[in-house]
Amino acid sequence: MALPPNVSEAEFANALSEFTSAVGSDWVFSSDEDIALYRDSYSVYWGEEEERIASAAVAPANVEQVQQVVRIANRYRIPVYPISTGRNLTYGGAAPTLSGSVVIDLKRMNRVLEVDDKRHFALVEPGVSYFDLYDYIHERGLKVMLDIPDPGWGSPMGNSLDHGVGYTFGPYRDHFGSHIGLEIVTAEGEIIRTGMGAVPGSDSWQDYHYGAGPSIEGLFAQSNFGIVTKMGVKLMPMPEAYLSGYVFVPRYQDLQGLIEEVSYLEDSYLVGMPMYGSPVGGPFMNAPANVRALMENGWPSMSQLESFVSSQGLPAWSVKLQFYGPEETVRANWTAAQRRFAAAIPGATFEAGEFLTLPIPDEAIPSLPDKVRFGIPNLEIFHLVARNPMTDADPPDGHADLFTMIPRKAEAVWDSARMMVEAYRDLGVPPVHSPFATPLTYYSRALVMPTLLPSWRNAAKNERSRNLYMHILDKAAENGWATYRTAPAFQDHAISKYSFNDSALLRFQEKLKDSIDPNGIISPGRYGIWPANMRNNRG
Amino acid sequence: MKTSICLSLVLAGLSSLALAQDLNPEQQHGKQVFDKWCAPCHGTEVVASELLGMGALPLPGTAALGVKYKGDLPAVLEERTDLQAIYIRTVVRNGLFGMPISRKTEVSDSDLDAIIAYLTRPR
Repeated sequence: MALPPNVSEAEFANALSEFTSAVGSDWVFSSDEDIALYRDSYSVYWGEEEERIASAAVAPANVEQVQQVVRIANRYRIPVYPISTGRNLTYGGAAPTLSGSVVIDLKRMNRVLEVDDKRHFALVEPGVSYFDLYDYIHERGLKVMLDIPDPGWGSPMGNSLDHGVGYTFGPYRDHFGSHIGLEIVTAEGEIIRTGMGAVPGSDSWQDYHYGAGPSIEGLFAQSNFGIVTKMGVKLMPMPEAYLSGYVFVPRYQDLQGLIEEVSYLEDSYLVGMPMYGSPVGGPFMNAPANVRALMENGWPSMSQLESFVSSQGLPAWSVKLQFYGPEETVRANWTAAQRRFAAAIPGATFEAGEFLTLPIPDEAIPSLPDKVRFGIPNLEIFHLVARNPMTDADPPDGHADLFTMIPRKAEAVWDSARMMVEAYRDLGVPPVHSPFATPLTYYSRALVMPTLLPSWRNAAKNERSRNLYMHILDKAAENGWATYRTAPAFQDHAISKYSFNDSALLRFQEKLKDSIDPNGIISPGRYGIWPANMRNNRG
Repeated sequence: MKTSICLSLVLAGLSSLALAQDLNPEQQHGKQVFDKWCAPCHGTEVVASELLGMGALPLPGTAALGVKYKGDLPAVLEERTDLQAIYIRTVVRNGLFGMPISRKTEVSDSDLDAIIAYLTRPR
């Protein structure tokens, strides 16, 4: 049996007995077979000593049981690790940051407490999935649209608290940014409600974010200061219509003008998620041979790139624009967008996309491409890891995402793509990026240069992926870039890049940790925050 | 190729419609759990994705099994008649390739028994 650190077998047995009294014997999992269900399926340390393994799991049914579990853990100094749906794959799944932790599995707390389609919010518990929330809204015909991440079995709360992202309109794509009101159980078992929720009898918890005085909500995202048990979610009113259109620009250097105009539209709240592409560069991470050949003798010069583009007879870059709203306004916004691009970028051309009225009729949903555009949960993203003709001989067991945040500038796009190519080559891995790599736009005010590294249930292969992941983190930091989110295996290393003024930010967070959670029981080490009694665990 | 995929999907849809009336209560529960937890990857839909730069393909689990079995076995799990209880239990609880582990707070042991009863029912 795995034990929590510095806890004897007898003490742990007593704690498990008390957990059982709190939640019932069906909901304490301590056999090896049951604990194995809390392994991270996509772990980059699968089967190795460093793989994060729980000592037990406890599944409370309500907030009172969460309080009891936390108080027991505090008494025995047992680290606990709350999960919501446990489906945060590529970012740790259901496994704790510190081996030996007891996972608090909140999946049973799965009530949609309220959805208001006049004030446009939901109030949910941790175990509610995007599928669940969508079904609740859909079955009742409520006129709101979700913004969802790729896999629909994730938790709106859990995703928000890990700074997860979506696909529709800017403010809603930032899931933590669109939360409104938290209920938190502290390490000592006390319940806090934030914002207007702190006012007894308040009926505006999901209407006004701040209340009065300092906001503390950010402390509970990507962290370990408490266990969130309820969260408000701002919802978008169901738009009347959706319209898409494509903008193409002819020259390599037109990327800067393209980004500037898209940023104007995004920051003016005129468009939903923009999707950059490169007709001449081919599919992202699968560039054609002629594009790869451009990099054979080092990074090509700007004139070489411009010559290549003009020789191919294809536009250098494209962006798909997506508009949500009444038909009159989406059509007018697309017209205005075309006028602005045409004025800013000589030779810009345009192509109409789709026009759809919303909500999407039920019969059209199953075959609807990219359902995430309309907040319809699905699991189609698993094509990224599913066996396909190219991976048939050796399919991966998962992947580790590494998303590097960069500013909205063409120079940063090009430099980060080059950094990726060089990082892969440094370690003898064929690069997947090219001079035509295009950024993702999950956050409306930053770009992301992504990469996905395969994970395996094979130590030697995982070591290669881990080494490359760490190397990219290092090379990115040399350019002043860092990632926004990562799995426990990489959290200490990723956070070490946020080192301004001798890591003053992390030192401040750890001072708070020591005060708020003096026994350091909640998720020790999550996003680099170690309690005083475990700081030497920092990797 | 496309025609044969479409035809097999239509036949699969017809056969599952016909069978729904013949299921015992445990198998019916199994079908419900399957639809919630398995069908989003192992269902019969065919979908394209501009985001993934992908033309029309079956859902990920179905597509993966199509590549794996190359027609020797049906890619759609609900069409399989060779599945064994131990295999289903092992895959659900251990995961397999990109398919992750399912915990008991998600798919309980009795839910899993019901899925097995549904997928291994005599046909």
